Amino acid sequence: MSHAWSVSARTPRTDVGVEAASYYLPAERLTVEEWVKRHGYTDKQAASLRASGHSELYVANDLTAVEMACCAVERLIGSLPSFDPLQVEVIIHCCSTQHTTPPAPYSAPVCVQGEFGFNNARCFSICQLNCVSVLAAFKAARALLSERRACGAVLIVSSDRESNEEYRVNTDFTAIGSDAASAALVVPESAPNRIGAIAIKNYSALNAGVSLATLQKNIVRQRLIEWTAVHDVVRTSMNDGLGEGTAFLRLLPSNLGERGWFGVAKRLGREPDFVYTKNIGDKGHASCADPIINLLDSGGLYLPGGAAVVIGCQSNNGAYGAMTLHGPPKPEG
Amino acid sequence: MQEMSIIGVHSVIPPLQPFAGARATEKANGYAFILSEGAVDAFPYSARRLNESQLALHHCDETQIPIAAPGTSSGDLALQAARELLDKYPEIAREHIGLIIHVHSTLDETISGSVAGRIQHELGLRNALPFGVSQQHVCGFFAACDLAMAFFSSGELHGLALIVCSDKWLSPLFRAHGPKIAFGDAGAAALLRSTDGGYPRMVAVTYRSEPELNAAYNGVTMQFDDRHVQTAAKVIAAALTAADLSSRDIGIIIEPTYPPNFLQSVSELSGLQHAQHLPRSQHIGHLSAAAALVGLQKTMTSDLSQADYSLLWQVGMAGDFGACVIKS
Repeated sequence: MSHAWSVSARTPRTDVGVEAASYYLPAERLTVEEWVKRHGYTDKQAASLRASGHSELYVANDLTAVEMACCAVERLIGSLPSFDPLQVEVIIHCCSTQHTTPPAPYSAPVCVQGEFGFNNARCFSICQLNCVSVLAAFKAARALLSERRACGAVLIVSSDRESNEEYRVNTDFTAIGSDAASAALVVPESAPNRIGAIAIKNYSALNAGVSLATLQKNIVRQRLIEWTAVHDVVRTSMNDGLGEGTAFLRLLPSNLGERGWFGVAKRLGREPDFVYTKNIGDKGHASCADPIINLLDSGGLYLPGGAAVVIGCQSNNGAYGAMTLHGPPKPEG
Repeated sequence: MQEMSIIGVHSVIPPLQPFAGARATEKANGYAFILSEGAVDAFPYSARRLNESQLALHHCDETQIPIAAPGTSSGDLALQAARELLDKYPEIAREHIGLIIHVHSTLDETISGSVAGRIQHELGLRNALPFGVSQQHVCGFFAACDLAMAFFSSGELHGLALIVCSDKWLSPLFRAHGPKIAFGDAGAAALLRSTDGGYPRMVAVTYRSEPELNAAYNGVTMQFDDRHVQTAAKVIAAALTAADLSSRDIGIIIEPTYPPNFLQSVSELSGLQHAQHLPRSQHIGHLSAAAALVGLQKTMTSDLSQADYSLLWQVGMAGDFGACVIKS
């Protein structure tokens, strides 16, 4: 088994942050018991999901991935007192569930662009890191803004939708996912917060992913490394780029694996309540939308100077990532 | 000016096969996941069965295009291109590759797998960040170059970047979108680094999307009209401006594999009639995500001219346009 880790790197520009954000969850909310019953699984399997911290999930029956993305963007625009669509210079779409994006040669981000008149934008999609793709999108947004390859705003839009209910739950019934979309407007000189470090590490031996076809080969490997890997990226990002005295308020996890996250908190020398676990129960794992959902639900985008949060993400194909957000510096004078 | 050096480019182009219909014929077990009820949006027109008028839109009179052997995936093409490229440069330590971007429009066959991660693993690129750039049809290469330049110049990336482009068209996707427009299978890879003497340099890259021209499955044939000509010329002009050049500075132009009258119109509007157009070999269809890189490879191996600057441009079916300028 070879270990192939990518290296995190520091950013030269420190004033890029998330100016506004939103998320969209489909209307149909189910308890894990309702979902299990609907799809012919057992009470024991529902109990296993409960024991892992899951209570409810959201299922998109009548919306496409593009429509969900548009719902999230509409909410983002609605949350702002004023919004000029021409300020958006880049749209970065990201997703874990590529199999429900529009078929080649179609483009989901171009559909979003057309829906809202982002006529000044260029766009593309970041994928293959699955649920960690959203952190690569933030890394890309910051690099583009840092070098003024984009000067206005970068809009990160995630949208994930399962095609098959079998894919919604992992094989041992310890995690279940929701369909969801999110939107984040990333700008220089952001008022609410600043992006600190983004650490992404990829365990490439797991490149085939943990799907039904590759399960036997990869599940053991994944279990061996996943929480060590998560801890590693979270610690790396917390140690990288922020000065002494930064107070980390909380760890925003991907919304699954409650016990694993408590273990990460312990290894960081923190109490279990350092991890924001409420949405593991309330929302389920919403793929690339987890970071924005948790950021907004746990206290919002505004962080005071000296305070920070760390976002942890994990995938089912070897990618692990973490990003810190901190309060902007106090104005001088 | 932000720029990056192109150390090398390599491509894998499958042999020409008789064009057997607008829709890709190979069925892959790996695509079974899109047969799920919830994946209908991953089908052309969001429908399993298409009516006659929809099918007629995709009629194409192409006779042959490169089609990868059955069982060869997009990931296989990408990996082969990347491996053969790196084999040409044994002096380059693989640890120095810090970024792998796999550019694609079609899906690889595994539901949750990563082609970029596979390249990382198989080629031992331990220090690379691997991800995919998709949904830009044939212009993803330009987005990937934009990102690589940003990563290099922002200091987020040290060492080298490997950009690998590939597509393999499988059923139920359509290869053809009009009388002369058919997309083939291919893979190509480029090794890039921040500016370094002795290598050709990419001195500007631009791309944009025009939602109005996002034609893929909107029930319209891919017909290049004045809007395509205007937008292509705009993107070319933006690339020239970014490179601080005029159209007269361009010695070689590499165009997409599209109908000659469209290419001629773009050349005229962009003031590029004087440039040497790389001779098109026998018409072989469009090489999909790999097309731009194969064009880049042609400029680097061309002995047509000692031109200082070459210009490469593309247009895709998702309303995607891209251009870049290469300094020899």
